Amino acid sequence: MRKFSILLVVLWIITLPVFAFEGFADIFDEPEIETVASPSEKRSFGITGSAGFSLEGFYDKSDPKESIIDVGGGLDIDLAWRGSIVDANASFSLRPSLENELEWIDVFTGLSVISYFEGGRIEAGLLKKEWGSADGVHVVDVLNAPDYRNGIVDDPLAMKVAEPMLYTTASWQNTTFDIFYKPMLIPMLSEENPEGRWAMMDIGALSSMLSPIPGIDITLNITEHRPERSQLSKFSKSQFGGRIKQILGPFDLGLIYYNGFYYEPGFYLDNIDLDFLSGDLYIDFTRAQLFGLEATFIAGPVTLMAEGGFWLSEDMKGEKPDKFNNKWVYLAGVGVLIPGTSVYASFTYNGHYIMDFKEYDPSDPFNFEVDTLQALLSSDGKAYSNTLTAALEVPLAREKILLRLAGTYQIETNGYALLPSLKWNISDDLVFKASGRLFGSIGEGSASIFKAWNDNNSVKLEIGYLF
Amino acid sequence: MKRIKFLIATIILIALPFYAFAQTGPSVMQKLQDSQKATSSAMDIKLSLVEPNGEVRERRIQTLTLTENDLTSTITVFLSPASVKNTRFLTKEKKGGGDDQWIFLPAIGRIKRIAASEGSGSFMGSDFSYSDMASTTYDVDEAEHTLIGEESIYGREAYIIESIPLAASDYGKTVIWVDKEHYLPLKVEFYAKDGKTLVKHLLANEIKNVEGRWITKVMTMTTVASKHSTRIDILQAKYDIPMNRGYFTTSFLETGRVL
Repeated sequence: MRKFSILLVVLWIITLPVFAFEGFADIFDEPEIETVASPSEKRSFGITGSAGFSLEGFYDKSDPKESIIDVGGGLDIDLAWRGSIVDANASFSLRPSLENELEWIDVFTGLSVISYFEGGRIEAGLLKKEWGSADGVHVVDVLNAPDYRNGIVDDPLAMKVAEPMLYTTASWQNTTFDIFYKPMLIPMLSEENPEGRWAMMDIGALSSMLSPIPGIDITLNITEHRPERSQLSKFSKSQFGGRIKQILGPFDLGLIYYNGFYYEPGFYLDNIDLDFLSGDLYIDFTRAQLFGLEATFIAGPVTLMAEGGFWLSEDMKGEKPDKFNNKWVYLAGVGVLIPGTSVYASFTYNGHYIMDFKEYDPSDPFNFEVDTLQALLSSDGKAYSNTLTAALEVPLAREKILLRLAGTYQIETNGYALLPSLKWNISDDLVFKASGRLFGSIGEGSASIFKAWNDNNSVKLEIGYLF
Repeated sequence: MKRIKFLIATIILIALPFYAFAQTGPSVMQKLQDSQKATSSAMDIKLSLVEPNGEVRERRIQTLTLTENDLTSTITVFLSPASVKNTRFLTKEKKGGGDDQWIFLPAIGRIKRIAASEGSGSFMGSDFSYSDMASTTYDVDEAEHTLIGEESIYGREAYIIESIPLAASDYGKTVIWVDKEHYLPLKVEFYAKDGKTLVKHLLANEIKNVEGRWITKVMTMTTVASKHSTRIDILQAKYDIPMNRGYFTTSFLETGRVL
C-alpha cells in the first residue's frame, strides 16, 4: 500500500504541468513558445530535476578481491512555488545504493520559504549557502557543516549539510549585507565506523593517537560519550553571523563575522584503566568566533581571489585538551579564462596555522606530549597545514562535452586526491558522466587522510535524464 | 575671366549635392550604428544550433539592455534547455572601457563575479562568440571602414564595407553588405587575423519592421571549417521601452525578482 502511495505521488509529480521560470513576462507579450513563462505577478509552480542511475567501482589495491561495484539510483527533484512576495522551495534527493544507507538528512537537501521586501529578502528553512570568493575551496565558509561521509567529490554543495537557518539579505547600490541565525549545532558528518571506507583516519593511527602512552599502540575498549541531539539544539548552541560585501571598482571585498563553533568535534580521553584496557572518550564542541574577509580582483581574463581570517577559540590560551586552539586561516587563488577559448583554469593555495601548538615529530616513538586533538588538525606534527588545489574545465564539441580535471595536494603529508570527470550531453536532456577518484601520497608520506583512503580509488559511470 | 568664375561657381553648385550625398565607409557605418541605437531594448530569442548532419539543438534566452549616460547594462536569462535553465548573466559597461560581469548558476546557487571573456569564447556552444552577440559589426571609431563596392543581394541594393579593427580583435577584418534602404547588415564575412581566411559568415534571412524600426529578425551564422551553423530567431523585440533598473542588479541576478 505504501509503495502504491509512493508510486501515485511520483506519477502525480510527473504529470503535473511544468512551468519554467518565467522570463521577463512583464515585458514580453504572450510567448510564442508555450513552455516559457507565466507573468511574474501570477503564482506559479515549477518542477525541475533529474532521474538516472550509476555504477561506481572501487578498486582495492591492498586486496583486489575486495574490489566492489556499487549500484545506485538517483532521483533529484526541485519544487518551486512562486507567489507575489513569497517563494517556497523544496529539494529532495533519493539516491539509494547497495553500499550506503539512505538517511533522512540525504533526502531533504533543501526546504525553504523566502519572503521578499524592498531591497532584500528573508529565507527560513533547511538551507545550503556558500561564503568565500574562491572556486570550490574556502576557509571562511562557515554556513554549513561539511559532509565527508562519501569522501570528497568535485561538487562543493554536495559536501555540505543543509542546516536549519534564518538568512536575511539586504542590498543597496554596490553593497550587500547578509545576516544569519542558526538555532542548533549540526556537527561535521563523517564515516562513523572507524573501519568504514571513508573513515577520516585509519584505525591503527587512531589507536595510536588515543593510546594513553603516546607512540605505543594499545587497543583500548573505549566508551564514547557524544552529546545527545537534544543537547545540540539548545539555545546555547545557536550560532549567528554576518557579512558585508562591497563592490569597489574591480574589487569585491567582504568582511565576515561568525559566532559559533568549530564543526570538528573536540574530545578527550579519561578514566583510563590499563588493567582492563578501557577508557572513556568525551566528545564536545569548541565555541569560537571567526573574523574573516573575502576578496576578488578582476583584471582582464584573470581573477585573483583571497580569503583569510582569525578563529578566536573559547580556549584562548590553548590549555584545554578537549578544545581547539585559536588559529589563522588563509587562502590565495587565481582563475584564468584562457583567451580565445572557454577553457577555465584555477589554482588555489590555502592553509591554517594553529596557535599555541606544540610541534612534534610523528616518527619519534617517544613523543609523550602530543596533543591528540590539535594533531588531528595539524599535518605531520606541525602547527600549520597547507594545501594546493588546481582545476581545469574544458568544454569541447560545442559544449556537448565538458572535461574537468581537479586535484589537491597536501604539502606537509604529501597526500593527494585527483578528481577527473567527463560529462557528455548526449542530448539536451540526457547526460552521461564518467568520473574518477584517485587517492594516495607521494613517497612514504605521513598520516594523510588521502593515504588512508588509498583503497578507495574509483570510477563512476552515471546516466541522468533532466526534466 | 568673369565668365570662367561663373562657370566654376555653377559647376560647384551643381556638383555639391552629389558630393554631399556620396557615401563613404564611415558614413554608412555611422548610419548602421544609428539605426540600431536604443536607450533600452528587450529581446526574446531562440537559438538553433545546426550540426552539419542536420541535427538541431535549441536554446531559448531573453535579454534586456538599458543605456544610461552612454553606458549599457545587459541582463541575459537562459530559459532552456534544462541543463542551463535559470542561468543569468549580467554585464555592466564601465566608464573608460571594459565590462563588469556576474553570473548566477543555479547549480551552485550563488552569483559569482567573473572575468571578461575577451569576447571570443563560444556563446552557449553556438557559432556566435560573446562579442558577436553584442554586435556583429564594428562601431565607427573601432575600425577603419572602407566602401569597397555596391551589390545587389537577395534582391536588395547594398553597400559593401570592409572594416579593419584598429585594436587587437577576434577577427582580422570583416566585410559587410549594408542594406541601402534600412542600413541593416544583410551579410557579414568574418576573416581570421591574417585578413584572408574566411572563418564565419552571417546571413540575414529575414528583416522586418517592428514598431517602426527595421530589425534583422532571423539570421544564420555559419562556421566555414566545420559547416556548423546557428540560426537566431528574434521572437519578440521591443525598443525604447520603460525599463526597471532593478533588472540590472546582482540582487535580481540571484533571485530572479525585482521588488
